[in-house]
Amino acid sequence: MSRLVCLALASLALAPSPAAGERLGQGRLESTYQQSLRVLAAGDGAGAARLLAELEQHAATADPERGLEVLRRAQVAVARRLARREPEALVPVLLLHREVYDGHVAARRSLPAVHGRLANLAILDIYRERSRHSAAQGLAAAFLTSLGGRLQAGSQERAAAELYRRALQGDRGQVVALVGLGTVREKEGELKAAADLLARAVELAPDGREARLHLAVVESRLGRQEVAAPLLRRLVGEAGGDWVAAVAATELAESLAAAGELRAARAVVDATLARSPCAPSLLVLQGYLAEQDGEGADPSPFVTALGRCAGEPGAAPRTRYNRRPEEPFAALDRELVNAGMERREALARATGVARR
Amino acid sequence: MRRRRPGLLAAGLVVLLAGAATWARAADSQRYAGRSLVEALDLLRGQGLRLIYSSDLVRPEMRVEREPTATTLHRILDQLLAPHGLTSQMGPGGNLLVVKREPGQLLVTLTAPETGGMAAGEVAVSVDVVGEEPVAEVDLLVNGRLAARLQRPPWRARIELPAEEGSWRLTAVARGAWGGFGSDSVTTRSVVVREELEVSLRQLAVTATRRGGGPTRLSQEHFRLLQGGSTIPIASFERGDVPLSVVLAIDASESMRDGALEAALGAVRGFLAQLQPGDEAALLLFSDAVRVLTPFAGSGHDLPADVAGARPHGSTALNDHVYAALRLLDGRTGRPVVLLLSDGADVVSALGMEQVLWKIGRSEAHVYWVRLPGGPAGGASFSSAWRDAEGNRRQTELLSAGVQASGGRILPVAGSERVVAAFATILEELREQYLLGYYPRRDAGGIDAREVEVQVTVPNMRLRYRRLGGIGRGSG
Repeated sequence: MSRLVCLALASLALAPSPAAGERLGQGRLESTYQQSLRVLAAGDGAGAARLLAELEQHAATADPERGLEVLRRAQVAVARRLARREPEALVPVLLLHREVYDGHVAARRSLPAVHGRLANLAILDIYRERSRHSAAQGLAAAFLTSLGGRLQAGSQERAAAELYRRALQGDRGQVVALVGLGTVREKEGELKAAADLLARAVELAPDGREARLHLAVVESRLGRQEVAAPLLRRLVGEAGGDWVAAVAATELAESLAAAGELRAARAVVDATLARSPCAPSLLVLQGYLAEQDGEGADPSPFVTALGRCAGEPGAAPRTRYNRRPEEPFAALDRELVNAGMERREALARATGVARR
Repeated sequence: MRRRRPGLLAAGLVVLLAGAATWARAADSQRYAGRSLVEALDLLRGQGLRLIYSSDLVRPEMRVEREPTATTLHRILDQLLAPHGLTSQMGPGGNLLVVKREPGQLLVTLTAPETGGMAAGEVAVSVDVVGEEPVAEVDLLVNGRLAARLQRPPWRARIELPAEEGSWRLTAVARGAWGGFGSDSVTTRSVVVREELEVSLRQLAVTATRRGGGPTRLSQEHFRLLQGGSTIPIASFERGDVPLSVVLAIDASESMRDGALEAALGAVRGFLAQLQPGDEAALLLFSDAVRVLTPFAGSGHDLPADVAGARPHGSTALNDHVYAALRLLDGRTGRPVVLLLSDGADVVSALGMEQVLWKIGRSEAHVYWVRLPGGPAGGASFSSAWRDAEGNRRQTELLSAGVQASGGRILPVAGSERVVAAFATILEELREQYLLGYYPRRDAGGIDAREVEVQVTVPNMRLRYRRLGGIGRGSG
């Protein structure tokens, strides 16, 4: 742990512990917050995150009624000062807040988590207002999308949709926001809206497998098999044999069976199981289709397969599908981290810290 | 006669040879095979073709394996791109864009062996593949398991069929270089063919309870069987001491936390301890996949030690595993019973409950559902990417209908601590069941498929037996 972090943590620990309800001074909170940003500017990201997390918890417990509100004002004031000097310095600051927010969510600290989200949005507004960087609007949309993704992953779909919508207002081509909003609409049963959003996402990024899968499933549920089937066939045929292929195969086989093409349905299932022998729903579908095809007398192949695959670790493909898409959000987060790294110098200049 | 001067001839020869060498160097510099695709496209650009491509599509490791045979630049471009699943299309400003080819449909035909034919031991398999795109590989599967992978034509192989008797399903799956896909299957019979005899004696398990009270003791004389309004004779009569084949299908998803799964496993142990000689039971612990499947075991067997360590996690594929439980019972000799413990919320199944009802209609099993609080039947509403709240509620309604039609019943419990008692009640009920054997009526059209109705002469009795009505009939 760096000397700066130790000093800052010590200042938090040594501060007279206020009784519940005692009001915290904005000045002292600003100073500690600035200290955390200086730690970040000096290159100690983990130390800065720890310091900011402790500061936010401290504010939540020291003055449960107003502590976090005062802290937010303090953080906004500091962010405004930084932005006057170097607007781009706010990009690594936003990343720091996002990391701390993730920590609060993982530790189920609900008040600091809500605060973290609001602080993120407030700083993001300042960044959008002040930055003259050509990529600023796109970056702001990416941050909104990234935050929306975290809400969607935590089943707060309505709040996530609002952030995606705002992201798309800033950047109509924000593919990950299109995917996120499309999958939220899908879960809400708004299939036509979902199809439109996902189709735009696929048009902009044709290689996105999860987006293509969601588009195919939604089109299939809308009864547009002529659109769904080629998408599903392509996903099934692609190399990998992963959960995406397993879900695509299940959907394709179901639609073929429903159209009376039992033989084709069975071939799709057999071929996919040859690559992913324990895809759970596919195993069941294989047994069901075999029975439908008049091979019900001997259950032993089904029983053997079921027993062989019992206890396989990991989420089942259809469970994965029911969650927020992973891959596009992971790629977006990587892009944002890179953008933050590129702007560390700006933060160092704005905070007056020489980089280590 | 004029003599040609030798000096001039030599000079001409030198010019000719030099010209040939220059031409050869030029031709060599225009060779594409062996280069990377990027270099080959640069060559085309150098000759005036306005090409645009992304490095995601045209990757540095892509090589040109074969020299193009075409004579125009556009056709050469197509021949260079095709093996990589790429093609070109006209873009803005007359530029040519390199894009991914759309995968096509491959038409696959298994030409040998023939469907329905007899096969054993080593079998010659032959496949025809027709399609626009190049074929990358052909997989041969036997009963869904990979037996051979062919990577170049002819698409023929000899594969060994397993030694066991039975029918073998051979599948050929062709994958194209551009992501296209096609398949064909045939089913062969083993050399030993067994004739199936129709055994027309049918058995109906009936639970009889006195209204307001528990089971009661009845004899054959108290029962009457009717089909199409006419009485049919009772051919055999047994009480519930006929051995049981039970699948205990226990939900182990995330909703079974806070001690519910431990309580359920305790109840399973209690159930197993009460099995009688001849009975058998298997445990199917499931969430979105099979977590534990124990083989059928008779009385005196406890759960395997590792089951105790099972922890609740994952989503729920209820429909899939009710189907699996019913399938596990096919061919068992005991009275088939599925004992399901769940809140009834299906989230991620591939099968709809409509398809499970088709199976309930074909199975002889009675399905009992010990219903935990918290599911749609208890008023909880939830939606997923797979189904909306209304669709989920409907699935639970269908499950309830299926349970009742199977001759089983739903036992709602207020909490997991009541599961032991619910299991004991079910076992007691099964022991008190009556098994009525009968021969269905025959008419000119064959066996009368109409449902059999059971009546008793004792007043105030409630009867429960399989009454499928429309459920599970038809195509499913």
